[in-house]
Amino acid sequence: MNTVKLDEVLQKIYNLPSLPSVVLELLESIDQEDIKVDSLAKKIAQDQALTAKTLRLANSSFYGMSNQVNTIHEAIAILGFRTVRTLVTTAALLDTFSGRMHAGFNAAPFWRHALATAICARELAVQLNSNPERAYTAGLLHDIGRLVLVTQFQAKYLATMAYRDQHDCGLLDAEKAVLGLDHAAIGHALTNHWKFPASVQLAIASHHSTTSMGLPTLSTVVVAADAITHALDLSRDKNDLVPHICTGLWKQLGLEEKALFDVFSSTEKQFQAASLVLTA
Amino acid sequence: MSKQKHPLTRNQTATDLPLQNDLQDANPESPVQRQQQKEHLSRLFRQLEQSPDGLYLQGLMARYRGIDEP
Repeated sequence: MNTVKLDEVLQKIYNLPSLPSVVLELLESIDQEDIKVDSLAKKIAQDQALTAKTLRLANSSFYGMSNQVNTIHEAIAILGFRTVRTLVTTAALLDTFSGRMHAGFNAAPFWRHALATAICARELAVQLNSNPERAYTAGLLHDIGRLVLVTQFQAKYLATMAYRDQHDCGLLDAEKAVLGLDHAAIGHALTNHWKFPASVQLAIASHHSTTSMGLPTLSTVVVAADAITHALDLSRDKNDLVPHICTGLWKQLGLEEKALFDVFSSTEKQFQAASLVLTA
Repeated sequence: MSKQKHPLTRNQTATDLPLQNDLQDANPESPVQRQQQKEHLSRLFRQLEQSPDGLYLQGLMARYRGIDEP
């Protein structure tokens, strides 16, 4: 049997290395108005490995800086605190999971989709006058439960991918059929354990919701961004499929066709540049 | 990105088609490229073909790509 019980998942989650505490503080600060930037910058700088990875991302061609930044304080001065906060989070997540992938999992399409969804969610949030950085973070993390499965249940996840290939279905359906639970629930469990902001937890838990009823704006944005980036084929995964998305969600977003086209176009343009960050 | 053409052959299936990204700077007036875009879009939406919930986004994408609606 390949089924996985939530208790088993939780045990594996508890055994994962914690995110650096400063990353958790940064994530908590997303919803705060009064942010102690200096204090957080000092804490980031104290983690040398995290600082090095963050600066490598900051110096990638995506940000197009003419001069290299050499310290976190310089990065904040030039890119702004919010951008650096996103960079630190991205660097920490890449680090947490990067050494644990197995040969059967192609990480590149996963990260391409995560990054594309983050960008698209941010663009949608801008159109909706919602918090763009929170949307970016939730988009970046929306499939994080999949990384738990890939790294902690390798044989079972290989069976899941084989099922998907055999039945030409989406990974969500394959996970439910083979494992008995899906990456959205696992992502929720992980981000709950890591004490991410409640709004981000909910967006991750509900990103495959088949109803838009009662979903807050952030969750709606992530559901839509996930579907849009699949439809734009930005992951370049030949097995990719656009997931189910209910018609009511588009009504709830309330965006005109032109506004949506602007989101598509902006997402594609930014993604081409941002994807270079993944190989920085 | 190269401007390489992706001619369809009689035996080519949808899964053999180039990815959407490879088609984006193709000449939108080219009937072959437009056909490829349509088939590619159909492939991405193949799970939702019978679902009214998939039609809105598929139609939106078709208009965005400048190809006929499904």
